[in-house]
Amino acid sequence: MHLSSDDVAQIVEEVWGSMLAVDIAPADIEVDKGDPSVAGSVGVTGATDCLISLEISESGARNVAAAMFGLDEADVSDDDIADTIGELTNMVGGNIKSLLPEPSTLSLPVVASGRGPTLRVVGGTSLLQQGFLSAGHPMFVNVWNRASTS
Amino acid sequence: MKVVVADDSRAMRMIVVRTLRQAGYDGAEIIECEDGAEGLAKVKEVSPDLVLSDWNMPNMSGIEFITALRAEGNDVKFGFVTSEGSDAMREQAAAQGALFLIAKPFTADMFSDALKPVFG
Repeated sequence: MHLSSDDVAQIVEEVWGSMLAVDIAPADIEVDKGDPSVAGSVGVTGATDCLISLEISESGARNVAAAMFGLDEADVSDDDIADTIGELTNMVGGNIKSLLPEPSTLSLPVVASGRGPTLRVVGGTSLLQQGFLSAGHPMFVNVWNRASTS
Repeated sequence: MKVVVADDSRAMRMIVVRTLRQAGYDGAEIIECEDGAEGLAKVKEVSPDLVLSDWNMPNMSGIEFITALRAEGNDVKFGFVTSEGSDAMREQAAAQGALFLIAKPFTADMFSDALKPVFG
């Protein structure tokens, strides 16, 4: 299975452009270890067994939640952030799923907060990691293969 | 025009409603639901002109929602607004009589293209 960074970048740019009207571009950046972050993840099971995650700095998460709900960043609640990151992960994950072998099923999103890198799949292998700058805030899309036999 | 909007994301319900208004249906009365089960109860209660539903939701998914409606003989106009639009899902939706499947991310033009043939 081959996932191209360009395909993933196109998906992310479409989601950000049409749902948030927030600028985003691929960027060659490193995870800033220990930074407060929010990560959303969706699982894909079936012909492929993957976890797709979207991890963004806490300030970036607040910025996109404010854009999603049309609020000032100071008025954004933790629920607004969880809802926004969950739905963005769902959209990006659903579109990436269409590039993976079918048939497969997409799980509901799970959102966690912590310090970056917030999410690592134990025993999984990374199929793709692409960095972005979302209105200047670091964000990463990761696709993990969870299948031990492939 | 009464529209039931079913999506477990409050953000997405808000964007669907906003896009519906941008597509020219700004006078629509909106009834929001968090999943298919709540949507099913609301459709029976308010007899909407249209249902716009996500696919992937807790408690009752979108396809379970339309299947339950059709099993009860309810043929309310129904469209999916969902984050994935595989051929298999489109076929499943059409088999239950769904009018369209709009894949996220979407634009007001996509809503307009889907709804104009039905509501003008």
